[in-house]
Amino acid sequence: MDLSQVYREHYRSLVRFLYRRIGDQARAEDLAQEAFVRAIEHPPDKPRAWLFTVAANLARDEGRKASVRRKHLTLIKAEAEARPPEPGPEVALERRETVRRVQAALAKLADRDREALLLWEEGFSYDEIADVLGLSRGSIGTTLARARTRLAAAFDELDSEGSGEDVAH
Amino acid sequence: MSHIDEGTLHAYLDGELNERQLLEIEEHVSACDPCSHRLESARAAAGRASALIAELEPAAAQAPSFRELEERAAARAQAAAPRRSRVRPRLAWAASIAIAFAVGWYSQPFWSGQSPRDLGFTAAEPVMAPQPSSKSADEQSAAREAGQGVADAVGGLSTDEVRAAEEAPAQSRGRAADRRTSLTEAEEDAPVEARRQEVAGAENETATREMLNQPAVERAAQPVAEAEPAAPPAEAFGIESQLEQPKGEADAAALAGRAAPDSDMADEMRVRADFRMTAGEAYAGMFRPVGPQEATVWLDADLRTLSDLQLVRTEVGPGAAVEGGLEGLPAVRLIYIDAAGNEIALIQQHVGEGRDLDDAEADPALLVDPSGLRAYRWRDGGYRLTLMGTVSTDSLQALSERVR
Repeated sequence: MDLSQVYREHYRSLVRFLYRRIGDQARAEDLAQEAFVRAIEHPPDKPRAWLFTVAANLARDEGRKASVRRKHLTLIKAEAEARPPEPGPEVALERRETVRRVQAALAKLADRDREALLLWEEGFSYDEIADVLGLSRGSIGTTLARARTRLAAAFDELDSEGSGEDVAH
Repeated sequence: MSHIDEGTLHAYLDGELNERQLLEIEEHVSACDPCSHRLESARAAAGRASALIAELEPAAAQAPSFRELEERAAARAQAAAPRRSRVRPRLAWAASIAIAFAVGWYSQPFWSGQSPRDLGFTAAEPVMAPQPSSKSADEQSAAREAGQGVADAVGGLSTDEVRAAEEAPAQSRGRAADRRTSLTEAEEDAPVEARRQEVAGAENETATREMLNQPAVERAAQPVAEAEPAAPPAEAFGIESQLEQPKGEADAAALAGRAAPDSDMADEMRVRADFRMTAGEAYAGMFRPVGPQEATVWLDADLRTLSDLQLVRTEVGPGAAVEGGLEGLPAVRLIYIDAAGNEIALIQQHVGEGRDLDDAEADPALLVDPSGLRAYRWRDGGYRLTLMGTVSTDSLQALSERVR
C-alpha cells in the first residue's frame, strides 16, 4: 500500500492512539509524525501494524512523565482561527475533569492491557492486536476483558474520590 | 459444556469468533442464566470502556503534508551524509600537519645554523622563542595523550618557562641540534607551530569580534580570555573540533548502545544522531561552541535553560544572524535533544527590562521553514527567546513553558 495513502487514512488514528496513550496532543502529533518519517525511511510490509508498533514503543519511551503540563499560551492567529469555538467555562471545566479522570484511570492499567484496549478502539482486529503486542490471538479476549473491567472500576473509584473532594471543598 | 470464560465472552461481543464458536456460545447462553448475565455484564463493560475512551479525543489540528514528512526523511539522510564527508577536512588537517612536520624536519640544518635574531625572533617576542625546548618531549607526548590538545602542550607555558627560554634560546637550540635524533617532531617544529597558533589565534579573535560586532565584545573578551586562554588558537587550527568530535561520536554511540542493542536500531540511532545537525546547523558557521560560563558572559545575564531535555552544546553568535534576532546583541544558543531524538535549539538574547521593543518584536511569533524547521519566538522578562526544531508548533509552545 502506498505510504501516502496510509498517512491519509491512519495519521489521525495514530495521533488519537498516542494522545490517549500519553495524554499530550502535541507530543502525540510529534510521535505520530516521527513514526511516519521512520516508515518513509524504512518502508514496512504491514504499514498500519508497523506504525502502531513503533508508536507504542515511542510512547513507552516517553515514560510516565507525559502528564498534562501545558498551560495556555498565546495562540498563533491562524491556528486560533482554525480551532472550534471554546465551550462555556463550566462545561469546559467539567469536560477537563472527565478527561483527567479517564486519563488517570487508563494510567492505572498495565501497559499491555491499555495498549490492547486502545488498539481495539482504533479498529484493530484481535489478529492485528496480537501482532502489534506480540501476544497470542487467544489471549486478546482475556486481555480486553480485564482492561475494560479495570478501566471502568478505576474511573468509578476516581469519580467517587473526586466527588468526595468536591463535597469536602 | 462448562461456563464460558470472560475472554471468550468479549471475543463473542467483539465479533472475533468463527461461525462454529458463535453458534456454541449462543446455544449455551440461551440455556445458562449465569453466563447470560455475565454476557450482559461484559457487554456493559465493553460499552462503558469505549465511552470513557471516547472522551479522550484530541482537538482538530492541521497535519503536515506527506511531502513535508518525506522532506524530513530526506533531510535526515542528507544530514547523515555530510557527517561522513567531514572526515575529509580532518584528513586534510592531518596531512597538513604531517607535511609541516616533514618540512621542519628536513630544514633543520638550515634553521639550526641561524641565530634567533636572524630569524626575526627577539626576546620581546617570547612566544616566538623556542619555548618547547624547556619541556621535554615526554612531557609533551604525555600532555597529548592526556587529551590536553596541542594548544595546551605548546602554548600553555608558564612565565618562568618563557623567561628561561628568553635567557638561553641559542643554547636550547644548540642542544636541540645535538640531540636531534632523540627529539620528537613536535619539539622540533613547536616554534613554527606556536607562531602559527599565535597568528591564527589573533585572526580568530578578530574574526569573532567582527562576527559579533557589538560593544559587549570588549568587556566580554577579557574575562573569557582569562577563563579559557587556550581556546582561540586551538579552534583556529580546527584542533578543538577534532578533539571534540570523538566525544560527540562517543556520546552518540553511548546513546545508541543504551537504547538500541541490535544493529538496525543502532543504525536508526545513528541517523537520529546525524539528524541532530539539522536544527543546530540552521545558522551554520555563525555560531561557535562555548562553555556555559563564557555564554553567560556574552549574554550578560543568567542563561535560560530547558528542563527535562538533554543539553548537547552551548554556542554563541551574532544576534543579527538569527531570524528575527536583535542586532547589536549577542545570541546564545543551547542545543538539546528531546525524547524522540529531535534537535531543539533555544536561542536567547538578553534585551534587558528597560529596552522597549515594537509590537512586531515583542509579540509571540511563529516561523515556519519549508524544510519543516519551525521556530516559536517570544519575550519573557528581559529575554528575547526563540525555540527552534523540526517538531510541531504545539510542541514548541509546550516546550516554551519549560524554559527556566
